[in-house]
Amino acid sequence: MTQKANHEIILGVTIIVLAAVTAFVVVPAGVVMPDNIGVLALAPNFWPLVVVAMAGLAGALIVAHGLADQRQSRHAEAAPVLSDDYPVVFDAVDRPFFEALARVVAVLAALFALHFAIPSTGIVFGAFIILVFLIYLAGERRWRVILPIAVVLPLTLYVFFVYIANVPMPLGVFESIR
Amino acid sequence: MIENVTDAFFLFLSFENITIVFIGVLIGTIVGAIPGMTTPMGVALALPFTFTMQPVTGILLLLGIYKGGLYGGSITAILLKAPGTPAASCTVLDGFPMTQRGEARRALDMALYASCFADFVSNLSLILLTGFLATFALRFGPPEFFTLIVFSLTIIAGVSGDRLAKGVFSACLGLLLATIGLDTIYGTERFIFGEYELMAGLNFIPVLIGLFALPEIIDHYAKTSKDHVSIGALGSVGAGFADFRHCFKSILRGSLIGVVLGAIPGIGGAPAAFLSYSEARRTSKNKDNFGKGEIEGVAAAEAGNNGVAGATMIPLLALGVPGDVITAVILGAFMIHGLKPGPVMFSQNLTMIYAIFIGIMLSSVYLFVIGKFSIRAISRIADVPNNLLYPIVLVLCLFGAYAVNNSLFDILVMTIMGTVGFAMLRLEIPAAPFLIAFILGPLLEDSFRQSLLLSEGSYGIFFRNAICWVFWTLTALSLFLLVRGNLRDGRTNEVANKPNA
Repeated sequence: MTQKANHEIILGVTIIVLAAVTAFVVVPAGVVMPDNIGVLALAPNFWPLVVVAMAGLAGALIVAHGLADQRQSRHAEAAPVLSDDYPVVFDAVDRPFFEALARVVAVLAALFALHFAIPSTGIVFGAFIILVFLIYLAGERRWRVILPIAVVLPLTLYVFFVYIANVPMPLGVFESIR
Repeated sequence: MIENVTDAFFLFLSFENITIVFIGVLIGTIVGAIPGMTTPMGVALALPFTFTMQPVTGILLLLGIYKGGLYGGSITAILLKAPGTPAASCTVLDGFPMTQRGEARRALDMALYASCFADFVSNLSLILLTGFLATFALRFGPPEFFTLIVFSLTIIAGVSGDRLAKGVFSACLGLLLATIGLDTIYGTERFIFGEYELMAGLNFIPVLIGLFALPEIIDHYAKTSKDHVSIGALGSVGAGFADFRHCFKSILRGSLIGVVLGAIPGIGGAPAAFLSYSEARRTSKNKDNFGKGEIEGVAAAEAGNNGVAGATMIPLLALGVPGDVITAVILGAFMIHGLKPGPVMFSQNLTMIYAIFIGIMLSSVYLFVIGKFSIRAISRIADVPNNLLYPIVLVLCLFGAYAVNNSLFDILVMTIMGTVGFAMLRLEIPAAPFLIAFILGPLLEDSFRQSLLLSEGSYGIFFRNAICWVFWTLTALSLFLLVRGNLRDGRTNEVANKPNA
């Protein structure tokens, strides 16, 4: 309970800080203001500032909840334990922390890399590579299962979008095959 | 009226539409039956495939998935004790004990009959009530819409569960992201930072896919794979007419509970299923058997769950306000096809609405056919290991996100939103308020600013008539009940944590 409460407090404080940074840095830098504003509430930055203020308030409420939980856990008879059903970031996942983190980072890195690779590889070959990688990472080791899925699925989707839905798909270096 | 209905039949009656409803219900049933896949995920993945379809066809595909998904969740709930949807967790209570007794087929049949009946009742309520509500809503101007949307945003309370503050934060994120693009009054830039692709704002579909599909996939890689559970025998004896007659009162009551709760934005299928179940248990002669494999329990839970399906469309079609996450996605789909649900659509596109009604009614029939004849096949498909399923879904996301605008930027948006969604999942910040606020945000801001333009800056316009006052009162009442509920939960926890409590 205490650990959960601490996480809530940290989250709430982070939200308040982020809301302050957004209000004082991001909104002034990101919203272009016109020269003449008749009504203050019609200004382009009015709505974002209202929303950011509400987010800050929500952060404060989360902190208040965390503090209340902390107070309750002090009253509790038993030593504070982490509830089984409460996943605190990576603490409660099945895999060990660093293994879980590494796997998540690998998946995200693959997705970001794919975005930058598609102009060269094309979407079909890019999807083939990422499918092989993700199926293998997920634990499947039978190539007779991995390869047919990795080949057939991107090709099927390509055919659907290009020839049935008339949506052009990039082929990258394989463009000449089209 | 008759002319509109006739035109609607002609609009609907095409091979494409008749087939697409079937495909939608089938996909939805499969998606709902797969533990780990959610109906919003299924609708999000199907959305890009509807771009090139006629609006009615595309909307019907999504509605079919929605309806199939509600029922599909019960299949694995009964067979595997693994509810495919949150609402199906109520079906587990009696469905799985029936499977253990070798009566899986009987439980599945009853779940199907109750689902189809409730779905039909819900569809009827949709058809009968939506027109009246829309006619009334024709009197709405920008201030009335503003107060209506403010009230609708309290549905965030309904989709935030017990994490209200986090839900509000999530909604704020959605509202903030909805402000990206050009200002609608002054035409100046907001949060564009030189990225011209942001001028029209963030596209709804990559955001949707990123928030609702990617986090589950990424999360899968942080966990160890569970042992594969095989589906047991279905049993040979199904539910007969005598069973249906025995449960009819509970099915009818559950259907009506589903309709009432479904029409109120934000409540959804799970509370309806549990309320229907508890009422059936309270009034049943076999109340002691509930939880031990009572067929009436399965019927009541499924009737409550499926009774919401048509009713959640009432506020969407009549007022342009989504009743839950899936109808929020369907609202997005309407917008993508250049349509704006609400009273104006009723006056301008009545034929299309009637055509959608016809398709919705047909979906109840398809649900019955699919449930009756393909349970065994669906339960096998639902058995696909997650190690293969999630990478496949990710590639569907990839193609879907790209197909929106043929833009690599949308893949980047999807990936970033997936990362944000994964962080939200881990921090227990609900994603549904984000999406609802992201969709309602521009409507809220536009109606607010249009009102102030009309009144030349006077805030009194937001209290100009009884309609505004009604919505303000409903909002205040909703907030009051919400805060009171939260305080009560807090006190309950405090008492539970006290020594010797």
